[in-house]
Amino acid sequence: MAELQQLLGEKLSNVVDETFENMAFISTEEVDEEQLPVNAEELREVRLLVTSPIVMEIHLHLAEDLLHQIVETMYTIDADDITDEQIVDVLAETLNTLAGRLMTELLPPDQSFSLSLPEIVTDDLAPPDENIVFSAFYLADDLPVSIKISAAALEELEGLLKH
Amino acid sequence: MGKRILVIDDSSTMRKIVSRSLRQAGLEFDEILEASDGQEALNLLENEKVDLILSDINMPNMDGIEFLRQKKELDAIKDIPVVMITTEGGADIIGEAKSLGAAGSVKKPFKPDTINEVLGDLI
Repeated sequence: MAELQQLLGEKLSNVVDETFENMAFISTEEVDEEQLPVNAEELREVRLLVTSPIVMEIHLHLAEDLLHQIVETMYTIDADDITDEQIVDVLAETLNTLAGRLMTELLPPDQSFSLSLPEIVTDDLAPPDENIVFSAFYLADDLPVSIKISAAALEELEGLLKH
Repeated sequence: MGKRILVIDDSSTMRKIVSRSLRQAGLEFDEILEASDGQEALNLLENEKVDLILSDINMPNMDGIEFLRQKKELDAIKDIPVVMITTEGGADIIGEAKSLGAAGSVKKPFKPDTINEVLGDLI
């Protein structure tokens, strides 16, 4: 299980870096949770289900300021013109891309997988902490990014991994 | 009329990324049109001529697979090449898309070089 956690960490770190660089030319750095800014500005959260070949839920938290920065870059608009619809769309698409790339990196090429559509999370939908089996934290332009994975049986993933 | 590319994706963010990558890839085209799902694309194609289509697979309303299925039955547009944009790299979904006429696929996130490799011969 420790090896699986390590592999997940390595793959996810690469995927996060690639995704942020590709979407908004932002580089990321993996950090310990304690290194995330205290009193960080408001975070926005989105979740997505991997529905096959195993079931797991991936949560992404991004700083509101980081989302604004990505939207400004993506849409080439001024900060004052950003809409919440654009913020939510970037948040959802970032997780969709991250999750797809992560599963592609983990699984053999002939192994199919399915993802649900991303869903913006409100507090009452957040899973209890005991279900979280993996967490990783990053700074993107000094702003916090966190990813948490909850699964009832993550060890099932071990048998499916790319060898 | 210059060459036109239609990008189908429910995410306006992804449509922006695709459009930016297309421009950076150095492909020769004049205009990018956008649709947010398969049905909107079919409606648009009733009146607009395009030379190449890039389509997401996983979309609400009408997904990319159903779009391919319906497009295949329409003489006016059945020969327009379609490249699927997807996070879901499984062989079965890509195989299904290809069996319905898709010319290829690219996985998100992609770089202009990848776009050039896949689309270079199609436009």
